[in-house]
Amino acid sequence: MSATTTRAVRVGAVVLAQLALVGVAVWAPLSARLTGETVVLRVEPVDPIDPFRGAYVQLAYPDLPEQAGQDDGTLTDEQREAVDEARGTAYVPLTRSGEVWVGGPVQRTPPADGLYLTCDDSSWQLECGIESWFLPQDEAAGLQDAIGGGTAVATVKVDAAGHAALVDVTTP
Amino acid sequence: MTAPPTATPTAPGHRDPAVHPATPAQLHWLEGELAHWQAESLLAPEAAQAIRERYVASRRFTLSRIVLTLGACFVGLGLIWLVASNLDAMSPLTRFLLMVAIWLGFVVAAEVLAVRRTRSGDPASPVVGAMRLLAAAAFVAVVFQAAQSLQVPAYEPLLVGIWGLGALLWAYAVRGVAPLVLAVALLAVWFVWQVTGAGDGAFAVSTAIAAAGLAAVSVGVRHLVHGWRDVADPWREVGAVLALLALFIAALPYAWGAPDTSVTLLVGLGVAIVLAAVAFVRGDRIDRLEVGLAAVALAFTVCLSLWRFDENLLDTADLPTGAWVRAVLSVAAYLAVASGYAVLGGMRDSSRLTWLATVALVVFVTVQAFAVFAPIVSGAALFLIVGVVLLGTGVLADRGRRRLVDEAKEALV
Repeated sequence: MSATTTRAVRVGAVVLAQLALVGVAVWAPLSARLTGETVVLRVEPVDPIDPFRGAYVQLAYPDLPEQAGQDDGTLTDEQREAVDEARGTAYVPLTRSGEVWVGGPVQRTPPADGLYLTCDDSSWQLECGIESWFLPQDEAAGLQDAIGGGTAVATVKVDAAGHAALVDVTTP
Repeated sequence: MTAPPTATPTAPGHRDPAVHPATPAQLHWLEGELAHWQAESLLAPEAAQAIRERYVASRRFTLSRIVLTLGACFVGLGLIWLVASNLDAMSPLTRFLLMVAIWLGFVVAAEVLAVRRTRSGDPASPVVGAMRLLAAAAFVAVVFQAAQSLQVPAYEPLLVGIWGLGALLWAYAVRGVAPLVLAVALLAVWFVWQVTGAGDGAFAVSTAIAAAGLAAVSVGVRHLVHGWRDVADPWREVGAVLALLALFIAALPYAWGAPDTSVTLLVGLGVAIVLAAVAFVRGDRIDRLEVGLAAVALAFTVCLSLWRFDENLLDTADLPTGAWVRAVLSVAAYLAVASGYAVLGGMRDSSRLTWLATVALVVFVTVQAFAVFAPIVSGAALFLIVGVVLLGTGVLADRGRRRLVDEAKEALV
């Protein structure tokens, strides 16, 4: 094999490896899009800023729990400490409620049956990979205002492992 | 970012017998030596000519190199913002394929140019270096567009890590220095971001940076042991920057956040220590000094990060003795590590390391003088003390140098 051919093979292998890395970067939403079931969740806006990825609407989900232990005003210091130490991977079971789906309390093990979201609650909010809706800058502010009405819903695909991908955000 | 020269392995046994770049100063020195060796009948004219033909003049920082590097950086940023504009005139899949086509275009162009320039005896072409940097930068457009198309949430550190890993693979495949600098910096950013995602206290930030510095220096030293100087330098120099930055942050008296550790930080520390141990065992005396410096910087960083006072700096007139002692020891620690890097720069014949240490020291002393020492012993006193310490160190070093010269002369006699 000539030096030029060897070089071309080496560069080609690296290009393929880089493309595989792109797949790793977006594996969870890609799997959800390709194999997931569709659920509809109510959404409300937060604020849109990312200097390197552009305009987006940061979404909150009023029907999903915020964090484990967040709603319990009766926890003792020791119980709160235990809840904080357990933070990390969080599973949120989903149940249908009319036209939309709602989340149950955070669990530390995957539910045995039914749809659920695999999230992370180690930071200040529950992160399920569906918090940002990117769109052109001139449309972001308008959508944010429209969502602010409180009646918008997000269409989300959820696969068997709880990976979620945000597919659409619609306002009535 | 450094200029983007192309690869030039330098160690005996690993060199490509083709033409190698050399600075005009190196060529001038070589020409003088060749003339002397020929005059002393140590070298035949044919051999001298053969040696001459192995080198081609190349400047590290020519105007063309600087402009090309800047151009590659600007185009890379432009591509990122093109992705960020979320042009909905095209479907997400079309946008992704467009970015893949642009990236592959740069990859192919860089390779075709590299082959042509190597054949024409110009392996150090700055255009090739710029194209390689551009290909590494364009890879992020592919990663980000894939993330945009699938609505991956904002501020996701994994994307930076994937970009860094991709740039690293590319840098090693083509032995490109500029892509490697970019890759090492990105991987360090990813690691620190990942650690601070779990807990962003002062301890986590400075320790993560110092651990990344130790790991980078250790990888660089391992490359040196194998004779891969072209890929060793970016690791070593970015590692030195990280080590000095971490100690700079740790030396500040500001305290924020609790000193929490996370699994990511502990794994990073473990990996850095293992890499350092391997590099230390396999390296020579100077290699050990370099790894030791980064390890000492990490140790100082951890200690100073854990030893913090919450006093408001505006009230430093009434600082407790402990805080005052901490400030003095911080200066001593930084002085020791920065001086170590300056000495290492001399031993490695690397002016960049020496300049880095010098700039770091000046910035550190200035910041400490104005932010910390002004209400304590006054900034002027700090400058005087540090200046006298540096002068004393310089005099001692010069005395050592003269003794070595004398010993060499006696040995020749």
